[in-house]
Amino acid sequence: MGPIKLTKYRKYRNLFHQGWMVVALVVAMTVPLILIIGLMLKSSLLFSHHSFCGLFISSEWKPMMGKFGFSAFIVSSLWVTFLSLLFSVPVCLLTAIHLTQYAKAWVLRVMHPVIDILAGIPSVIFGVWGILVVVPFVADYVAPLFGKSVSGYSILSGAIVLSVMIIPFVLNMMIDIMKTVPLELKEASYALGASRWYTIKHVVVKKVLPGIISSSGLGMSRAFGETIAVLMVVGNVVKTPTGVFQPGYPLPALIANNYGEMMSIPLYDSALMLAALILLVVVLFFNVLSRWLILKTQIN
Amino acid sequence: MRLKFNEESFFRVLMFLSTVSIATLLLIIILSILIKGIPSLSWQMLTSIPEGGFYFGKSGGILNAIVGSLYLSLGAVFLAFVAGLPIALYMNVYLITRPRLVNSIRFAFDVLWGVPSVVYGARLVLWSWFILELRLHC
Repeated sequence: MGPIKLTKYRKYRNLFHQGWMVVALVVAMTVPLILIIGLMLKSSLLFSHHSFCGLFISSEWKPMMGKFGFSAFIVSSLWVTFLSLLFSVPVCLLTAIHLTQYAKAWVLRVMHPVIDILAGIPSVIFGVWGILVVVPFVADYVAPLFGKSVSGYSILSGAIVLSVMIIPFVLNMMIDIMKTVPLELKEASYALGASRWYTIKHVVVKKVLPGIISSSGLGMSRAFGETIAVLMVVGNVVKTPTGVFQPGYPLPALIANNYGEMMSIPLYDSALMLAALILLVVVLFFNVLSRWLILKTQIN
Repeated sequence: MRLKFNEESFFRVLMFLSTVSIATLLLIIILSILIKGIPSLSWQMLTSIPEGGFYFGKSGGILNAIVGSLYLSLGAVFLAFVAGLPIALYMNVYLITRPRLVNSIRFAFDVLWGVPSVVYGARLVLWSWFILELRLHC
């Protein structure tokens, strides 16, 4: 490349644009950092008034009396997240195997738009659908099966809506990961006389197992932080749920429902910030873990 | 051998069912929203703002919500464009010679992409509150 003669004007323009890019990058990277630091500072106030165990083991939530027990919210979040994974991961895994190993090419061509449309539906639509379809379904059909009569606004409804929401997300990743299995590997297995199913079970799935785990992990953090759709169907009752038909109150719903009204009470504000911090830390932890696993499998 | 064959066909049925169920789910979601929504769809609904007693089925529409959503998304897209395009350009033009750095930046963005929106919301409400306070005191 020969030397390019830059006029003064062009040089400054170049510098300006480069500077703009660096600033944008730095801002984009520091905003989350500020986010974490801000949340920590804000929630530290609560820790100076309450002990760590008192906050996480107690389920007594009376902000006006200065009682902040997070256990009901954390347990609700765990229930909803765990159940939604239980519903969606097997379905995703089976579908991904079907689409990549068995199905004809046109099935994948049809299913790709289906998955993309499902992924593009705003979460509030899922919430509305949950109220219209899932809640009555749980109240009228599922609960009577177990001999209970409930309103339908329950952990189970939240988990069903959530699992539908994370299916496209997890499925897309699983399909991409399964496509990376080299054909040579499968051919080697066939050459040894293994059947198709044996190859899938012991070669394909074994090869992509870290990918399956990490896409489930990403789905989990997605489910853990999902707010509006869950909030609309889960019931929002502050009580530690003991069964899937009981209403719950997950952490994101707590923040979304109470934000704005607690500005006058510093401790309440601090408690909600702690809820946000818990969410952020859990989600970041699982995201880092899953992404790292994916990177490792890609390198291998 | 026979057992293996049975296992495969069992799982093939399961796999087929789960694939069909995902497509059916999308259909159910779209249909249930359409069935509930189509009867209320009219020009008046789309072109006027809510009037007295709107929430009890009287006259008015949702024009304000539609316009609000449009403004909000256009503004968000514009801001994301102003920040996102230079970052993408910078990573692909200037940092292309340093793949390790690009990979770690992409890793960071991938991780941050998953941060729940309610966490961002919680902080931003606080910031706008802070700015408001500043303006009131100055």
